[in-house]
Amino acid sequence: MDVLISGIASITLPQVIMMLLGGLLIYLAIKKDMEPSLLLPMGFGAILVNLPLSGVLNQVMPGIGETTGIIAWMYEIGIEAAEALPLFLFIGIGAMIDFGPLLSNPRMLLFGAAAQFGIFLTFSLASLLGFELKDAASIAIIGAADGPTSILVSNIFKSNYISAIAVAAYSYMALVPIIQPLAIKLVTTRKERAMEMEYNPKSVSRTTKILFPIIVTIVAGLAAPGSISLVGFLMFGNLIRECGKLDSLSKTAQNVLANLVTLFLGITIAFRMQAAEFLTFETLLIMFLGLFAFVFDSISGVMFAKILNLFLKKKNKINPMVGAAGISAFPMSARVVQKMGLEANDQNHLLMHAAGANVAGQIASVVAGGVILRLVPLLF
Amino acid sequence: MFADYSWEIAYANFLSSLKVMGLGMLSIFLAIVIIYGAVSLLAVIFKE
Repeated sequence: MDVLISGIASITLPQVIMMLLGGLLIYLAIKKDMEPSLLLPMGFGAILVNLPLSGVLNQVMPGIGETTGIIAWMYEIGIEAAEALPLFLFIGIGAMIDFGPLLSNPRMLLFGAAAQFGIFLTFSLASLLGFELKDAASIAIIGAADGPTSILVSNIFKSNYISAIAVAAYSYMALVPIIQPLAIKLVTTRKERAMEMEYNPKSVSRTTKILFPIIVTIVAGLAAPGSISLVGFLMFGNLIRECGKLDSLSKTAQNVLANLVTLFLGITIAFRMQAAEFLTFETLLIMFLGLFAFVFDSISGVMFAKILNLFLKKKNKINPMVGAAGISAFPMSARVVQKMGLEANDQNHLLMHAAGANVAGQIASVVAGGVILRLVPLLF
Repeated sequence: MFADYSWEIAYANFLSSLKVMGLGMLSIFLAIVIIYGAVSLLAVIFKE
């Protein structure tokens, strides 16, 4: 009888709280449509790993010895060993992205770079709050609005807070339509938001589209070697898309591969959502710092556009909101800018400009991840 | 983390983080400007 009730008897309050949190993630995924492809597997995984004596984790069984749990194994192989899952997902993301709007208006690249400033500001704040440098850097990358990059950086740095970072990164990505308008309104006037921009796209040759991922890989690899796996896999996916010879592989990467990896990534990350590790004051702090990073990335993009406007002729001026689309949350951020532009002026169509800045943010965020991976270890 | 909080260590880390901020933003802009230049060049070479 004792054996039968041992599971119920050994449950702890923190485990119950974590299972409720798992339930909340599932609720947000289903009812609020917040990144359901990731939050739902994470939520269910949180329940699985917090059940007492859970068989999905490594356990020592009386008379048998140690048994390997499936989620523990998936974490070791899929994330801990070589960050395979986030990188495989990047192939799918690369195959989904059309860099056309960026290539026809390459000055939008600058906004991708500018909108990474919040990452470094958060790094400083987290350091001042007492986080170790490796943890502060991992937390700051949440601002990249790029889940796989956040997971990869925090895993390479062996951060103690990888699960909180993953939850924060994906939650805030889902909250872009709520967070970004508030951040943008903080630093823009209605008149600025109503500013129209001409859209005269230049045609982009197929050769340019094919050479672009190769050039980006080489340049980013030379500037930030740590980013080469991220940029390389992203651009590999894009090359498959643009080469015109691998349509079947491109479609597989965009759909089957991306879906399959997303499915496993969420439930695998949940390995780090065990109560003892997750239920800490630091988790709350990480949620706050992630929000700070997100808001200041958006604000720095807007401010950069305003500064640039000081030097531009009137007809070439940029709607400052486009700068905020320089974060990596694609395509949500571009849609937010388009919607806010139309709210301020019903003739103000900013989508293509914002989409250019948004895909630039994809490139810049992985470069930022690589830069952090290269520079921060020099301080250890 | 807060139990063993040390202002001296946190301040030293903060100063180091400022260096990373400067170098990091410079590296990102450098990479992006090179890509910008390359894209502009490609547009001229492979005009449709």
